[in-house]
Amino acid sequence: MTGSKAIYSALCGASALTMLGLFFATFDYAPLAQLGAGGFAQKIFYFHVPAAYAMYLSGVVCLIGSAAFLLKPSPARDAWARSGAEAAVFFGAVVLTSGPLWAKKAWGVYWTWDPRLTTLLLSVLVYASAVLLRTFVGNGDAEKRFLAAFGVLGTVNLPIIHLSVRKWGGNHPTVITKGGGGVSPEMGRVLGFGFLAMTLFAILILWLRARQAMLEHELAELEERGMDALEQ
Amino acid sequence: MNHLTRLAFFADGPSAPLGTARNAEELSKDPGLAPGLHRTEGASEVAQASPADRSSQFVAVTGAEAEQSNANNLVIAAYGLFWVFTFILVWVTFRAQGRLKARMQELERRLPKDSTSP
Repeated sequence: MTGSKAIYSALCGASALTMLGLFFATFDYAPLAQLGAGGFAQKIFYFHVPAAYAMYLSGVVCLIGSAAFLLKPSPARDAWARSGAEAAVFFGAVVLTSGPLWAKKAWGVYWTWDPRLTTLLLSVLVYASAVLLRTFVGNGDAEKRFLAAFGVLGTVNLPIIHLSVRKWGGNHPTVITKGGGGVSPEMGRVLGFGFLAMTLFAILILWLRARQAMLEHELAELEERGMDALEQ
Repeated sequence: MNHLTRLAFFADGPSAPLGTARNAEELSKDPGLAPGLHRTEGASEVAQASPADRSSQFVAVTGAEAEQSNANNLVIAAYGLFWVFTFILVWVTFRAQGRLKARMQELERRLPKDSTSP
């Protein structure tokens, strides 16, 4: 087994175990929250918030890959920009579906144009448009540059999402951020475990998608060389 | 707090703040509401909550099982969607990687050996 394969296998195992652990910790260990926070529906919190953090993480990977690609294009940089955008869409979708289900219980509505929700939706749409373009239009230089530009744009929006609650108010709780009352120690432990599980999961997804993008590039190169060989 | 910003953002007109309950008699007739839970009437009312009304901590409680039935479905739906998204992503990724690998091996097999060297 090669080094990268061993790391990949270990990452897969660790990710699966922590996700399973998070599931049991959420329902077995974490206590019920008060009804104002959604009661039993507050259990969504333990993967909703880590998923949002994983989206930020993916966005940062996308930003680094995109900025590096714009400065000096290379297949690896494009692969990381693409995988970051794809992972950000995945985690964004998780946040945007789990949040409204929790909100239905805690706020009484599935959706409200809360500043954080609105800015998050905008960011996910930016990443989704870049991913859709690459999926359906192709892998030309212009498309790669377009994704890189959108990758930078989507990530620039991430601090706005984070600060929107403090800047413009809205309904989002301010539990674990500055000024919040915090969570009980048991809840805090489960949330911390959630962050660990989602970090491992995000790294796994980023790696998988980047590897796929690299394989696509290698295949395109090989096909090009094959055509040249046939022409000679 | 910038009130002008809030007024511009939530320009639905005045209404009761978040958490304003109907009277006790009405609440007692509503089977979906447990004591202590204040249902809001709609998105505009929710949106007009001031930051001071937001939850700033999660407090562990015991009991209150009567209220949990509706929440069960929401939690199951949320976790279910998460796993559905995950399985779709994993399935799409492995399918695409398998397809790519097969194409690459086929191409390598067809290429003359000297053309693969740099």
